[in-house]
Amino acid sequence: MLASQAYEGGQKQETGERPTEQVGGKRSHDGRLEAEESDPPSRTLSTSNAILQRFERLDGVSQTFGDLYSRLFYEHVVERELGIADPDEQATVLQIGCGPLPMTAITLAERGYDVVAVDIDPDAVGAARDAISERELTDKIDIVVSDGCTIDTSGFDVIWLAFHVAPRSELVDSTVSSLEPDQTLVYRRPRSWARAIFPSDSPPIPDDVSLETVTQRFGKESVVVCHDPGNCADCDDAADCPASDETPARTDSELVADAESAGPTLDSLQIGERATIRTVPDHDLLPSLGVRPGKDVRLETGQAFNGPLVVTVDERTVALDRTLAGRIRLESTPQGRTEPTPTDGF
Amino acid sequence: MSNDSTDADAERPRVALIGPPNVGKSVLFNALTGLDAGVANYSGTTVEYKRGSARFRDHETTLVDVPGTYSLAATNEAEQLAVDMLEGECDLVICVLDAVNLENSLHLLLEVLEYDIPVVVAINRVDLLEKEGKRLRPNYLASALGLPVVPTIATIGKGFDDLVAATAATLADSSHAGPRQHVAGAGLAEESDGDENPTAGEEPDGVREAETIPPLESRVDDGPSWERAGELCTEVVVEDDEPTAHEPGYLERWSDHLVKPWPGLPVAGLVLVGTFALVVGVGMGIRQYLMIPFFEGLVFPQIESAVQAVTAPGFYRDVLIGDYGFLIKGLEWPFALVLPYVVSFYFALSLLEDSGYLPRLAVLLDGLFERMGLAGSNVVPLLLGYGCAIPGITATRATSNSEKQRLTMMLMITLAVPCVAQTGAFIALLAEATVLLVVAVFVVSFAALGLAGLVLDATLEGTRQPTVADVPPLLMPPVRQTYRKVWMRLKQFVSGGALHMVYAIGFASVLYELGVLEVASQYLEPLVVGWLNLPAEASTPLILGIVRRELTVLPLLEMDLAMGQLFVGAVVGLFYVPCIAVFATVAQEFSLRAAGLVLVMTMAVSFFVGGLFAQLFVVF
Repeated sequence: MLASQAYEGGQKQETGERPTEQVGGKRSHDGRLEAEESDPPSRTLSTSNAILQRFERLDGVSQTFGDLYSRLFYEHVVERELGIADPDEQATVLQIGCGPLPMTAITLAERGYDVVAVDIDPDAVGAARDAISERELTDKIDIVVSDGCTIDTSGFDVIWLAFHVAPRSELVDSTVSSLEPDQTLVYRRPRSWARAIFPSDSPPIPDDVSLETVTQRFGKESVVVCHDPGNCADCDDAADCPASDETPARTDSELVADAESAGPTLDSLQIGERATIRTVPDHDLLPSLGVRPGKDVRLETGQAFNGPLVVTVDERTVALDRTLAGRIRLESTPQGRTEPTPTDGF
Repeated sequence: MSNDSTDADAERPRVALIGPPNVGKSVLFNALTGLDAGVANYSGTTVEYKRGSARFRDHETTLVDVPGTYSLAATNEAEQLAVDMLEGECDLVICVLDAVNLENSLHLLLEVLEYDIPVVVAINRVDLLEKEGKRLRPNYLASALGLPVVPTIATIGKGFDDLVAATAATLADSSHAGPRQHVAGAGLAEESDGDENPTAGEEPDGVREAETIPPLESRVDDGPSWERAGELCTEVVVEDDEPTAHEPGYLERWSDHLVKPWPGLPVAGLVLVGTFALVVGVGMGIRQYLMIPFFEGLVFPQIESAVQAVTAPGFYRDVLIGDYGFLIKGLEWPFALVLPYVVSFYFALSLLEDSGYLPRLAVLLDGLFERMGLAGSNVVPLLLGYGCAIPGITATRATSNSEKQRLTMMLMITLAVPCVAQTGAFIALLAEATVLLVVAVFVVSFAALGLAGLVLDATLEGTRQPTVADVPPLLMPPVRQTYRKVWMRLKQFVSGGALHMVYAIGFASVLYELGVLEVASQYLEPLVVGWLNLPAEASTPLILGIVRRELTVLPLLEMDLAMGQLFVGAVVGLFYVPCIAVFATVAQEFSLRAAGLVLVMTMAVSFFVGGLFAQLFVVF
């Protein structure tokens, strides 16, 4: 398997220095642990991690419970991420921070991907091994004790970071900088209200990568990072990868049209701002409701709870899903693009 | 509609009303068919066509109201129905266009013209266009397309005579001429001599222009393109000669305000609470001051003395006026306890429907509903479900965009949405103690809906389509329309629901007096007495409840229950199995398996949750 040397290195390092007594910081990383814990927002992260771990260990008691838990909280998350990242069928995945119930890895393995899941906590890895052998997925998932910060990520098609990895910022930063041309990174971070509870760390993303975010429940969002648009022509996933928006390397006519029209999108408008529509994705209702190329559109408001955007076209009021609005391209850059998610009041 | 008329339908020409949603087609339909006489609902495989007979001068026709559609792309069920209608037996199409969004409607018209069927064009909502300071030139369109074009204002019936004349002329022609070439002249003639025509009279230059513009010969070749629709639209709709400064009225301003989270969301809360208060308040008022005095003061004493005069004490007298005496309960329950709420609920619902507030509510709640895998538009079947589960379940076809949503909606409605009859029963039962109990039951209902949504979203397979929805402007609800809707619902309730309820009560009273119910109840007793802490006779309503939902609750009225027991009884009733008619609908719309699922789910949840509350009350 591609990844064997990768995690072996990590494991050696792990056995040498990893103390396992901090319950709260199980997925934290050496050396940085004290600094993290002195930071109050980070304590919420480790506390929530500890609670979740205890909860997930219940899978050892009842697999049905674990399945329900996974269905309720993880399947959607992973499915949405897959929708954007869309790796090909033979893709190998490295999952960092799998925990005692490796739901992301299980969900991915159930969809046919080969997964290597790592966690820094040997207890969690032991429980995770039990969980996958109970589900008869041992040939699809390898679970290894390893430190995500030092693991060699090369050779994997997708690197998947758990929400509770710490220090997230540094881990994301180092993974992004070592991304290979055809590699994709998926990580999860808090959004809106959850940023107040969890440390808000958004590492600066270099110019040569493209990223797309998808909103998840419980105040989370997932970020999919795809490296080096210039090399997308070589990449099998180019057609669906957000990073390749700039390149005309795609065959699908609709996607080519999309690429030609790269520019500001409808969801980047400010409330009250006007613009002219340049291109519209293929959707049955949009043209009939007046959302067509050449039409002047005004953003009226954005709904609370991440609900639809409300626009007026030809004096007609239309509600549009935010993701769909993100695929509607506009003629010119609207002035004063500062806050990309308009929501008034709430 | 009776069977013999269906046979006659086959020979009569069929006229289809096709147009975008919310353009006033149904108003037109009702006007042309003569109020709601002869309107038959018959279900196609999917959504329903509405059909009735209409007379255009000498032509007796079958008029078919096709569900509103924005295009003929046949990508959803409504569009597929419109296409089926055009491809099948259809002799003439009345294409109803929206004057306010003419370009979009014109595109639909161009698509309809692709089918070689004679077309008469009605442009509705001309009044709204004129309010915007714009003017319509129907004659231009008539000559450009070679079709009769009639501007109408459906809400006040303006232009209907012209439409009837134009349709009659086209029907007469189409019997011996080709599909379209003859129509231009007829259309123009109708236009120029129509006195009722709101624009022709004040617009002499319209006629002149119409004559000078040659019909576009390349029309058929063009096909339906947006460019063509755009060109036509810029020519047909012109700014008024004296453009009056277009002052937005307060309705227009609120149209915009109410779609924004602020103040839209707080107002939505107020509207929902206000609707609840209106339904309960008006309903209780009608019951207290109209129905109860009428029945208890006038009707019941008469019945009782009459029955006592002709029967000896014993079985027959008890069946008629005893505990479940169906001459008493059969009148009191449906008419005094439930009917007031039927009136107040459908009054409130019509106001919400006709004002255009519901689409705003749908948009405001879309984000929240998404968390349950639903779309904001699903608020409509949910609200309808508070009237009766059956229209709620059928409405899921039009408002859901996936099978998963439909199933979720159906399960939510059958589990935790009480129908209006049951609401009436709750109020009758609980408001005697305190209105707060009614509120508490509804809080339980809402909580259960949210929870059910989350659980179903996680357990059912399926995807959610992105929301794209039209938000129509707010309008003053026309009083006549509201009145007519309430009246129709009332008729439906009396001829359908109430009558079944009377039968069920009659049947129950016979079984009760024969002692059959008591025997059957014994099997339920351990559950009812031991787990729910209700008196043994409370198992009777659980058996009756399968026939009509409110019968789970109403018999509890006579049992002198304590506060906690009242609440438990109401909660059990809330989640308990829906009535037989709902099962039939579920089996027809989904499958027998789905109906079985509903049965198991409602039984399990009602006893489980009811019992939980009962045990809690014992502890505290």
